Amino acid sequence: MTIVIQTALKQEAAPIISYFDLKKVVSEHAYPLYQNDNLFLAISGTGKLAAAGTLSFIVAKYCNQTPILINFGIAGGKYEIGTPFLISSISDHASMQREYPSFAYELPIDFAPLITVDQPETSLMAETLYDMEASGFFHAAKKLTTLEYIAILKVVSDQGVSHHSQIDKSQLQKHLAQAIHPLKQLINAIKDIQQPPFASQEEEIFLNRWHFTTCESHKLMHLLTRLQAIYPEEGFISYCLPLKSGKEVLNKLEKLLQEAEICL
Amino acid sequence: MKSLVYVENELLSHPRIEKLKKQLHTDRIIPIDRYQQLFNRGQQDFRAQKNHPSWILAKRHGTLLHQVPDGYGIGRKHNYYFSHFLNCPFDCRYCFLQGMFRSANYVHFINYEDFFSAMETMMRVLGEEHVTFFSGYDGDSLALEHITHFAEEFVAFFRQFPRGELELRTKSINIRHLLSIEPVESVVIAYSLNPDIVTEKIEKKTPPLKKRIVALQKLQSCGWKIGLRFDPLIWFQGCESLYSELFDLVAKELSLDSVHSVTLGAMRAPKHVMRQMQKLLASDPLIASCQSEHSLIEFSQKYLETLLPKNKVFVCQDAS
Repeated sequence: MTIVIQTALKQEAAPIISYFDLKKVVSEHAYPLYQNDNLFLAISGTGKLAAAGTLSFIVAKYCNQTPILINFGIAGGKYEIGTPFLISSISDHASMQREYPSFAYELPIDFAPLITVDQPETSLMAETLYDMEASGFFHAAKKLTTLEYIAILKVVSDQGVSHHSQIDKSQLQKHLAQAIHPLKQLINAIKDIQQPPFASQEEEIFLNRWHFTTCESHKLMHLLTRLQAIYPEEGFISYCLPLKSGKEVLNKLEKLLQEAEICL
Repeated sequence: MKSLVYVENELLSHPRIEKLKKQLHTDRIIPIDRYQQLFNRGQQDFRAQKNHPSWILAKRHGTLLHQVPDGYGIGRKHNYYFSHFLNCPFDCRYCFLQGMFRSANYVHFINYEDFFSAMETMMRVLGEEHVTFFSGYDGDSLALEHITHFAEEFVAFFRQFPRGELELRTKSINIRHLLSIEPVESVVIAYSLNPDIVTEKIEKKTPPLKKRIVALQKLQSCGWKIGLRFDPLIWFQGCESLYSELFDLVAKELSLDSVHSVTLGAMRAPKHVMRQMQKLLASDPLIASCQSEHSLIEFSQKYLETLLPKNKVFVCQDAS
């Protein structure tokens, strides 16, 4: 199971790199990328297009199953500095579109709505966070994985500044380091809801022995998976060995399925 | 951590919302435009949501009463179903909702008055002809009664309209309110029943058979009309003997003379819905086999007709 964490700034990434002992991936990537086993961290730079582009690239290159995708970073808001929040809705200031992450777990982390802006915002509404990446991240992420595996975790860095250089760096480092604990909780919670795929182990043997069209091979997979659910200890190749064509094999498997009796 | 509750913007000041916030122990309200924004979107993991569903409080628009297909009634000429709720806290493996909906989140339609108005209009249009309204197609009727107060409000409505009949289909033993009020002649509390082993292994998170029988006894002794729903009947090795035991148990524990109706039905779902269920529950043998065994219906019908008058036993299947 692959986990991709995306941050905009090196400062946001630093405590994650340190805690998870990530190593820089040396390649010709336009984005700094760090890795430890199946955990990736990409630093996209500021802005929603950068966030979406980085995420799409990393997932396309390194993930072959539905990955966990997390945007982690700082956000402005009229809350206590350093408080971590899970984002409950993301509004894109420019397009006026709103998106909703899906939470299939419980965590002791507060929720807040967030607005993604194109320019730093200095006059902030109450009970709302502001960032510059989340809407782009979410827009890309929802096309790359299941909604329940996507999350945005933000740490309140300021109550409205015109540039992130105005934020107290040492304080920021401290708050981001404190947010590692909720980040770990979040990763574990999402890992817990992921289910291992259930599939037949015999498909390859069938495909090598008989010819199946694309449509037939889908049907084969479907039939074998169902048969394996009913008879988990059994193999089905032996029932089909005398058969000559893929069609005959499919008919045989269908017959086995029709004759199956469930034991409770 | 408190739950997240999504509320349609037009309902934010609805009086039921305040009550529901208290019942759901939450102040985390996320305003949305329409429930479909969340409920119908792609890329959702139904099984993951099932373990931790969010609430979506919404207004039901459009057609509120849907005609029940021929062959699925309980004796009356006109039959309509309605849904104040989508999804259910129970996790029955055969449930078609998991193949029909993209989300397992709870959608609670709080505009009860619009349902009342549609029912009143329907009864007026039908004049002297009787009609049954069925609840429980898209979610259990009583399982979340302590939060929704659905039965409380709808039973009160039907008390005024004896010509309309209401069936509350349930597996829940959440009957405290019903036991605290005078029974209503035109309301049938209908329990889905299956042998113990089916309840335990297939009807996950539901009350055990014994508790459902006790609930039925309490309702019956208070004077409520009760219905027995052996639907779906589940085909498995040795099922006939376990179903015979179930029918005998019901005959022994309940007063069958005053049972309103008994229905029988096979496990069923449209092909595309079953296909989706097989994807979601790929390792489940019941869903994998997808057997709809009609000989069990015949067997059960014959057995039940030895215990009850024929006109009380209905087989639910397509009329054609």
